[in-house]
Amino acid sequence: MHHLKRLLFVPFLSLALLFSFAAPGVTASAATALTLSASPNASGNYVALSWTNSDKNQPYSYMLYSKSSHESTFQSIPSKSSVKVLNIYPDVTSTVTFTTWTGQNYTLPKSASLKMWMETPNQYDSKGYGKGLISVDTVSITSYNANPNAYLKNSGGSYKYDTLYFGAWDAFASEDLSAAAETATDTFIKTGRGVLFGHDTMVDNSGISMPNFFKLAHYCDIQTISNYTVLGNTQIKVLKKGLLTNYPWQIGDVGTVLNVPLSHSNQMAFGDIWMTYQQPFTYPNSALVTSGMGTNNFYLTSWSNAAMIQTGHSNGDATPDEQKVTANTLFYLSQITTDTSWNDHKGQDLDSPDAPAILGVTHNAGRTQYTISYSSQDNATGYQYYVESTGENDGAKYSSSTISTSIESGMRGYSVSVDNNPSGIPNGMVTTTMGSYTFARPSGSGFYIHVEAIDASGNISPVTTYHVDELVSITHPVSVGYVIDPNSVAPFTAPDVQIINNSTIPIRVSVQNLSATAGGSLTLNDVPPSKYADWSKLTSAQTKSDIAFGLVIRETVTGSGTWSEINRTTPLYASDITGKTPIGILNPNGATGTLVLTAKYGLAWDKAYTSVHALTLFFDLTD
Amino acid sequence: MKKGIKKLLAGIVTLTMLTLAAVPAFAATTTTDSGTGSVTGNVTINGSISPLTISVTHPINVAYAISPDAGTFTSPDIGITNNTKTAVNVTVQSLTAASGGTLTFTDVDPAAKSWNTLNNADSKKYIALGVKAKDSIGWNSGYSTATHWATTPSSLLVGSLNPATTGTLTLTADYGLAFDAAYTANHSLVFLFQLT
Repeated sequence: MHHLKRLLFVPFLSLALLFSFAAPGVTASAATALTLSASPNASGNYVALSWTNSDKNQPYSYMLYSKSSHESTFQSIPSKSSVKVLNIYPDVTSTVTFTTWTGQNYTLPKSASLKMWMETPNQYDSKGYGKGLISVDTVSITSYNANPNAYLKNSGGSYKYDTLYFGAWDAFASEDLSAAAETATDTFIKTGRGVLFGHDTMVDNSGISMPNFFKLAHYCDIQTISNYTVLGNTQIKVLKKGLLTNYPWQIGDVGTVLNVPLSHSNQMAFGDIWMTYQQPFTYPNSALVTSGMGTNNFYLTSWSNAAMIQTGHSNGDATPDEQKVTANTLFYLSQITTDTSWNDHKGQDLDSPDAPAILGVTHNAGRTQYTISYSSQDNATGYQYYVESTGENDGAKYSSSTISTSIESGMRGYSVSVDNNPSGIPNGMVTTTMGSYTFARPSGSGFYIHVEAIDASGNISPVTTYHVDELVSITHPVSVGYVIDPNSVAPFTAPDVQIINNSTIPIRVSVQNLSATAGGSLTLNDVPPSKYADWSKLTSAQTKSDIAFGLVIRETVTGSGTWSEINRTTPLYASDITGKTPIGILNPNGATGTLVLTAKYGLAWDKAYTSVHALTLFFDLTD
Repeated sequence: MKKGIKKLLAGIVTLTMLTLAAVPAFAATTTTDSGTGSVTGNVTINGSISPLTISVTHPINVAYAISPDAGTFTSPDIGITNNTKTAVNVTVQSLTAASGGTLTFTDVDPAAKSWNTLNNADSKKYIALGVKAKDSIGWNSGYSTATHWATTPSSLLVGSLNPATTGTLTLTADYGLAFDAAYTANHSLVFLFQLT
């Protein structure tokens, strides 16, 4: 029985193995088991990607696609740690001579300056703006047009370069791509490899016509303007933030202004615009054109693995800013790899922390030092990824499932400034890493505290401004008159003393002094109300001598339009006052409180008199 | 015989009314004080005080009678009621013989004559008339029990009366008996009422 079972099992197993090897298509479909994983690295501010491909039957190249939470569509992304660039330059006679960081000397047409920019030591990097990560080969457009694949591919037929660079010269020296070169370049782009078009390449209008170049314009999402229409400047401004603006060079945040040689656009960009020309446009006859989502105000635009930069109008001149932008763009466009892992530096924490919440503002006793407390929370940026594999032998393409991750770099600190400007903005530098900040009070009746939160990736939150207003403004009567008519049923009458708080902050009201003073025909003495059990029995002499004069808050309940706090509900008599005596706190913004004068007095007035009291009120801040 | 009594109060009341009309009205002028952290605000409080009106009720006249046959001098009480809100002092300022009767006496000190032996001419000429608090009722402590004789040159503070209180005065006299017919004679009594 055991033997029989073994005999029966072997044929079934063999059948299964034969079926597997005899059906490579099924094995290829197993490439759908192309599996991508992502691990955010907060400290490095990148997303580590790795993928596996179950198909070992042929070599594969890979292209990564990404979409951040701020983007609506996937785009291919860079995937190379070092970049090989072929610079296809227009033919010009002027030359440049330079020595690369490897010690090799070159003399090239000035239109082929890219190698000099990327590989010649400079004040910023000993290996040039390419930082030793970018190597550049050069070929003239004439040679490239004649036999493009001879330069694009090695003897084995595979591509030698990650990215092509067409540039850079004004009007590209009026040299268009040949039809063959256009076709070869199109094929190159379709593989996912990068291409950077320089100034006046992708243009086809009444002024400059490069029809073969322009056949490739759709890769950059660029459209023509039928009439020659220019717009330019020597300053550009960062419009979009991402890998292209901070790897390997930190170009600057959105709004950063960069200096470039004079250049201009001559077409419409509908893709990602990384940098615009700074207004006012100084290029002669600049004209701004917009159409839907497109604009001709761009210095650098990209879409997936293609981009256009306006470098070249100034015939080989380039500022440090421009050379850094170029290096970053070449990295950005290098998007084909045979590796199975990549640290996606485009996958950055791009989201700023929340605007700081002000928790409180305190001060020392003398109000010479203030401390503001605040808090904020960093925000993560979400990303979705998938990887596309291309069989090197059969060109078959497979995609992984889409995965999601997010990266949050965490809080770095806070930028705080104090000034008299309600629209002030801190300088974006970390003032403190603490949740509070103490500073000397500036002069004036008020000041503004501005706080920004900064995350470890350098994202800056919206500014939160706190207004410290210490302007005390109170309206009150200059004088009031009371009447004692002993013949009346209610002998003492006096108008209300209304106090209006015009300040934007609550104000404490105190009585500093209330006392009889000279100035009338009679100067009374302020005595306690308890001095006489029955004030109506005072003699004329007592009547003319003593009075118990006081005041009391009329309102008995607090409210938004009046007192926020009532400290005394019984009269405060002049004889009670030995110092500043708080009676209540008035709400801000026009709240009104009412003081009522009150008195105890004799009736035996033998003739008419006048008498004067001085009331001194003290108004101060409540905290 | 009847005696007339004058009072001073009416003139005082008139003066009081005029003074009340002169009380100034204080306009509610306001000011705004502003500063950093704290400010002070000064308010002048001006008082206008009116005098108290003194109000006293008393008889306009009282009549006394001398009966020589019975040897009696009779007169009604003089009630004085204080209507004022406070106590007032009651002072006899003067008591003097006045014309208007069939006789006009000459006021003399009670000790100046031997009244029982006066002849007809002197009886018709001299009298010693006085006024005094009848008793302690109504008067505040310290009131005077002395008699103000018509010949007394100074006034007499009789005492003080609290509000809504009545004190009583009474007339007294020394006189002759040798009247040969019925006669009338007048005296004028003047009070001064003051706040205590």
